[in-house]
Formats: sequence, structure tokens, C-alpha cells
Amino acid sequence: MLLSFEDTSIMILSGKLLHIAGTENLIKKLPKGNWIGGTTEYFMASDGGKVTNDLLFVTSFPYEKYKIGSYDENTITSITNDAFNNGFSIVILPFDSVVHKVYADKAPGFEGMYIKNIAGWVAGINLNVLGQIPITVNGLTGEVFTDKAVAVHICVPDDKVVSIGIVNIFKQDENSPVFEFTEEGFSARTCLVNGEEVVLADYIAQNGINTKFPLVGDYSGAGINISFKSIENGVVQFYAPVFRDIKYKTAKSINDYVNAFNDHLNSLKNVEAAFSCNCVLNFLYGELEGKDIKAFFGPITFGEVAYQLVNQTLIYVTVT
Amino acid sequence: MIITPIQTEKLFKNNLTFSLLSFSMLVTRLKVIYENDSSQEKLENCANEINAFLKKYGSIMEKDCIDISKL
Repeated sequence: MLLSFEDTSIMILSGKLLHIAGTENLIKKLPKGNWIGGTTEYFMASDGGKVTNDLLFVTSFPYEKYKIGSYDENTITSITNDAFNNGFSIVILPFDSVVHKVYADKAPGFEGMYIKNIAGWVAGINLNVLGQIPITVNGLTGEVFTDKAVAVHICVPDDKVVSIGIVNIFKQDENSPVFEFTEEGFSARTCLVNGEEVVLADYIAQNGINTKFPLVGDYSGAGINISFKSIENGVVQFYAPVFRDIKYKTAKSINDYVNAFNDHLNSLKNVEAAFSCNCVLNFLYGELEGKDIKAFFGPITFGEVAYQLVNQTLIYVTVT
Repeated sequence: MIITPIQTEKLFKNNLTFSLLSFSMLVTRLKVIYENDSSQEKLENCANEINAFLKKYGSIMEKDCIDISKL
């Protein structure tokens, strides 16, 4: 829920285990306690999408066994080892930091990934305000980071099962050619289109591909998005790394973002999320400010973690 | 349920789809590993990893388990 600085501080001082998202100036000033935080000024609240720098989105976790830690690019590989066997972890990565990139590139290979439940998001800024820096905060120690991820690892009772789900309004366009990449990473100059090497930037221009819609990778039936960031000097930049051995297609076009989300959410109306967040590209391209999305409230983020880094996706954690 | 190495190989080749995101991602990763090294040892490791997953999450992936058991 969205709370004032004062109400958030009261919750922290009551000893609750919290996840907090908000603007840099506010989260840096919060009292120490059992919480982790990261920056964003975009939120999906119960009364619609909001952009604010004077409220914080606070999620409380009613669990007693937990640990809070921070990770740099060398230690992030141990995040799955630190996660409880039966539980979930929420990780926050500062946008464009080395640890963000290492997590994005390497998380699928971390020991125990997919058996342990790692969710989370990438901290960002208000895109219309100059001078902001994405930060993460370890509330337990009061440390503020631009270069480290923070995580809370939560243990749930033995009779509960945790899973992480996604709401991806995009699916592969069945008429799209197959895109494959011979080099992994956040950028690509060339790729294979139906097996033939092309200059990707040229291919996008020549074929009128709408870069507001992502490439969708096929993960055994699950569509995982790679969003386009920019095209600079003939190199296509992405918000998440492309992987070898994954077959991507362009996304089927969507005319009405809000209806697309609400249609997906209707099928999940009995799902109660312990945590959720949604992508800033969905917020901006879907013009979600002031519009009601029926469920899954939380921060609007600059990359989402559903085990590995995903894009243009709503992610949620359930404990059943 | 327990999946054998032979069923694991069929799982990789049959392009099944699954209801649980984590299982979809796990199978995709293991499929790539096996494509790069199709040894019996690697296949058994993949089967072991899948069995550990099914032991933990089988209760919330009933439909997937039915599909897998038909392999």
C-alpha cells in the first residue's frame, strides 16, 4: 500500500518485516529496521497508476524467520544459497549497475535457481527528473547502495508452497520470423533471422518492427520478454540480455494495454500475491497513470526478477 | 513422481509446455545443457534435477505431472 513517510516510519519502528519502494530522498531518511528498499516514483496502487515523490509503497511480510543481505557483482551468485529451502527472496538491483548486469547474464545458471524462489526488481528513477540515481537500501544496517543489490530471504512454514508467476500481456506473433543470437548480452549488432544473418538495426527499420513491443523468447511455453532500449550507431540495446539457444519472435501487437492486463488478471482473480511489481515500460507505453489495474499492486520497476531478469512483465509471488 | 533418464530425454525432445513458470525455465535450461553435452551422465544429472523439483513442487503442478507421466 502507498503510505506517507511518517506512517512508513511507524511501521518500521513497530518491527515489521517490510519491503519499501519510493523516491531516493525519502527512503534514504527512513529509520533502520527490518526492511529493504529501492527507488522508483512509479506505482500501481489500488486506486490506479501513480507517479509520486511523497509516498512510499510498503509491503509487509507476516513471517518470523528471515535474513537481509546485500550483494555485489562477486557475491550475487550466492543469493540462491542464502535463500531458504521453503520460502522466497525479494532482490532489488540498482539499474545499470554491474551487479544488475551480472545477475541478468548469469542468474539462470546460479546453483539451485528455479528450485529456490527468487523474485524482485530493478530500482530506477523518475525519467522526467534530472540528477536522480537508482539506489537500494539495506534497512537493517542503513546502508545505501548504487552498486549493490539488497535482498530479503523469507522462510515460510513447511505446509506452504511458494511460486512465482508472471502476467505477460505479450505473446509471440505466429507470423514473426525466428530471431536467434550467436552472442549473449544486452546488445546485438547482428542476429539470425530464420537462420540468415542480418544487421538487426537494419532489419528493424526495413521491416517496420515496433520497438515498443518486446521480443518474446520461448521457454517451454512461457513467453519471456526482451525489451528494446535503443538503437545507437547500428547496435540494438536491450533492457535484458538475449541468450543463445533461445528462439525469439516479435510480439503480437496490442491495441489496449489496460484491457489486455485486466483480461489476464481476470483469470487470476483468486490469486493473492504476497508481493508483485510491474514494468515501467508497461506503465509508460500503456499510459497506466490514473488507470485502474484490478489487482497486483506494487512498485513500477525498471526490470523484473522472476527467477531470472524479465522485461515488460508483471511478476507476483504466491504462498499457498 | 519420479522421472527416468529416458523420460527426461523425451521431455526435452517433445516440446511440452508447462503451467509453472519455474519448471518451464528449468526445463529450458536443462535442455540447452543436454544439447551441448548429450552424455548419459549429463542426462542422469538432468533427471535428478527435475526429480528434485517435482518432489518439491509436484503438489502444485498436477497437470504437468500427468503430461510428464505419459512420456
